[in-house]
Amino acid sequence: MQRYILKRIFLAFVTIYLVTTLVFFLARITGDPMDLIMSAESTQKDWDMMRHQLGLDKPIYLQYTDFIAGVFIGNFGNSLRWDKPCLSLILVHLPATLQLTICALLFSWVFGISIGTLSAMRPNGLMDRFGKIFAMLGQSMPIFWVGILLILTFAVRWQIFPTSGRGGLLNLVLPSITLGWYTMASMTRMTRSSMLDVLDMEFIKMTRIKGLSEVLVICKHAFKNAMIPILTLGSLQVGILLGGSVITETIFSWPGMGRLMVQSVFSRDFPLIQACVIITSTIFITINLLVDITYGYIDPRIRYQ
Amino acid sequence: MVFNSITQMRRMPIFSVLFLVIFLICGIFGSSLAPLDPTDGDLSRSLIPPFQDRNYPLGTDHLGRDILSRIICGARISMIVCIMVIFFAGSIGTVLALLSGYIGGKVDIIIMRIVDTMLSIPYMMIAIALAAILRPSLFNIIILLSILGWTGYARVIRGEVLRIKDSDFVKLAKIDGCSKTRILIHHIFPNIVNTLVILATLQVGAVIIIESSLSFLGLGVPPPAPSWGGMLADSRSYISNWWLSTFPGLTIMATVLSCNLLGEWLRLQMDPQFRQK
Amino acid sequence: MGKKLLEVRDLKTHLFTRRGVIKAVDGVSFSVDKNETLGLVGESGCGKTITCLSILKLLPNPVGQIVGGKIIFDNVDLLSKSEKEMRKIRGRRISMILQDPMTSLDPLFTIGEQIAEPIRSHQNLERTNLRKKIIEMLKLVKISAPEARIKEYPFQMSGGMRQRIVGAIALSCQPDLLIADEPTTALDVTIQAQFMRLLKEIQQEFNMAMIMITHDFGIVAKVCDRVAVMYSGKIVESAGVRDLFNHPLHPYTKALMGALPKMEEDMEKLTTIDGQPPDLGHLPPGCNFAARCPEVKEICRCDSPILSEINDGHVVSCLRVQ
Repeated sequence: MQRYILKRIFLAFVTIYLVTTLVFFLARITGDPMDLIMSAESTQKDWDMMRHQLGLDKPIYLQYTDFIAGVFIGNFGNSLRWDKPCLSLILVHLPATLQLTICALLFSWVFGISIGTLSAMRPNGLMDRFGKIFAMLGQSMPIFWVGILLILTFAVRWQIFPTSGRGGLLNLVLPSITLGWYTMASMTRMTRSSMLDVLDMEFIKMTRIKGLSEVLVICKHAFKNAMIPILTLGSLQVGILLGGSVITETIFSWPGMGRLMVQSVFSRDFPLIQACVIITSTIFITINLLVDITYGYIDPRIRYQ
Repeated sequence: MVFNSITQMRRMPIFSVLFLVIFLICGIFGSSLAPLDPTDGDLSRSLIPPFQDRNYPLGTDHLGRDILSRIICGARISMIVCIMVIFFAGSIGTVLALLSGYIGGKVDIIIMRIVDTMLSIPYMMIAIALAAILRPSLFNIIILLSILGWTGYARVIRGEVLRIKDSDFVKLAKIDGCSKTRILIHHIFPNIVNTLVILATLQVGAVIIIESSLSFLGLGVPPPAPSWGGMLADSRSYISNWWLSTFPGLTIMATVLSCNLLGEWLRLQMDPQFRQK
Repeated sequence: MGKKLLEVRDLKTHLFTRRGVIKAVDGVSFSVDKNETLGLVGESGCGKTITCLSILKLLPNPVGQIVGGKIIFDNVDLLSKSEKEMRKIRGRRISMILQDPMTSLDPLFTIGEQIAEPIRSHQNLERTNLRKKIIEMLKLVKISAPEARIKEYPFQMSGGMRQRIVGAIALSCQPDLLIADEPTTALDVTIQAQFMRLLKEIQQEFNMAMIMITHDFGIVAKVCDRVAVMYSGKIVESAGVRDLFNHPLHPYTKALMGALPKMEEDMEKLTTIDGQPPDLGHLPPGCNFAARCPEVKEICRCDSPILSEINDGHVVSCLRVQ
């Protein structure tokens, strides 16, 4: 188990390093960052100054080593717009995003897993039919439309929840549903299909032969076995949620990292964009690492490898 | 067997196919089909609710433009983006997957590492970052979505190639003295076409959603060209005028839903074993 | 003959599938006495397993339904029992061993936990006694070093060992009746005999009745007291084991025995039964076996035979014999 965990941690570091490299090169292959930063009116002198300030006048390999070394100690450079270190800017905005993402994740897991499980217990039953239509629709609705619809009905028409901003618990409801909508739909489908697979297995029949109660059969044996594909999907969903938070935060004016990123795009804040991508990826990779380790605890076959 | 195929045909999601055909027609003939000019506004006729004025069946937006016409013409951008992205991403992904799966070794390791790395950056994040660097334009949106979209193909098709490479008929072809290229083109490629078609159909929905999301954020095809995502973005300032957001939203949902249902059906028809990534 | 422990009377279990109703069990009657071993023999798909799952009321839901008959266990009709009452019977009074030991254990739980589960839900034992009981069960099925094995997982064990674990689970509450569904089909030949011997020993120790589902007359000869031969959802012949081997009456029984290799004969003479079992969704009129029967007569194709007693305890359902 220890070796498995160490190997996973090592691989996670390698992936973070590769992501950093990829971001560095993608940003430079697809265009000159200077084009992004400078406006049309800027003079040649401005260009040269900015190029020098950002270290973009150095040879590419030096830029690369500087960049990697910087990222390694958490130095992503200064934001052009706010003239503050990118990292501290992001850290200020991160809690709001994490709060929103975690709530959305909880929302989609609680509903997705329970609807999926109930559907699998009675295939083609009422719940199953309802769940199927619901999941199909959920997967086809772009989240920004979900957000607008929710605001339209619950904030404008009925005025139950506030339209935007971060504050009390009420403010959290609509953004979480918006962000978790898509992932809930896919979680419902995944839970249903993996539960159906597991319920079909011989060892489930064996647990019934033993005379165990249905609660034990479903919640202990079936659920633990269905957990592995569910967790795999769950860890992928964190990526979707982190990406979706950009849109959700824009709709609901949620003061998180996603909105920071959109603002940095419009204010052409090149270092801040890079930092946002790398830090979100790091969070995503860390979550995947945790899920990998959880596999080990769930499945003895991985643990004893 | 004949009976079997008829029942299979019967289960074809007929509404999805119909809707996609309408989508294609709108995409190709958009501007001549639309009753009014999608970009020509008339401020005196702004924000007319739907089903009230005969000339504007779905109402008008804040600039007095006809919503129905904008939806019809907006299909063009979504269609072009979808077709091009699927072509480019599919080709890149398939070629790299064939190389990766068939040659194996270092090529495989490098390609799969790139895929894994791309997949560990949240999709939307990298799309936004690229959109920022590339500047919004139709061409750049296509490039950006292609750069992002090939990984899915590469992963799934590589798995298929590995499976087929191990199959008896490929071994027999080898014994027969077929060259590597011949095996790749004549024996392996025809066997991944099914998977390719399924992946492409399922990708249409994803591309439409991402394209409209970027448009929504103002990073897509720049206005005044009508795009579904852009229409929803405009509607945010007029949220109580529900028709501004409802109709484009319904259109996106119907298109994506149709593609997903069709893809699902194809998946069941062509390969029951195929699992979504 | 002892007292009747289980009596199945005219059991009808149908499978309601999308393609129509399949009469998987169509009027089956048999009984098992205390301490006795009944062999239930037949080809795959003839309804043996469905019959036994009907006894435990564990049919695939909602496809499988018991539509008629009685299952009387220890003087009570199981079909009148609620699910809650059935749960108290499963594992404690009637237990079952499934065919494939590789899939009948949950891969994510230790074998100790899996043996503990039925004991925990049927008996009140405290931790130390529970542990003692688990070790006792492992010893019973001849697992070496049981104290260490408790913490192991199914994937760390061989097929034969896993099947013995399944046995330990099934036997953990000393059931009155054990149903073994082809328990050795998935095992190596050498381990098969070993496992059968073990079952037989435990049966004597526990005074337990057994229903042995199999298609192997070799096993029947070794462990069973009585045999019921099943064909397409019906019992076609039933007799004491010696009686059946000496005077098989039904052509199907004879054919099954012919399919068994005999040492003294030329191996090339190994016979097979031509054709496939009939489609249970669309049964033709007459005897179900008529299409494959080597001794078929004209009457067999229109009249259905009924079970009738030929000798003491020897019943057969064949128009030709009656």
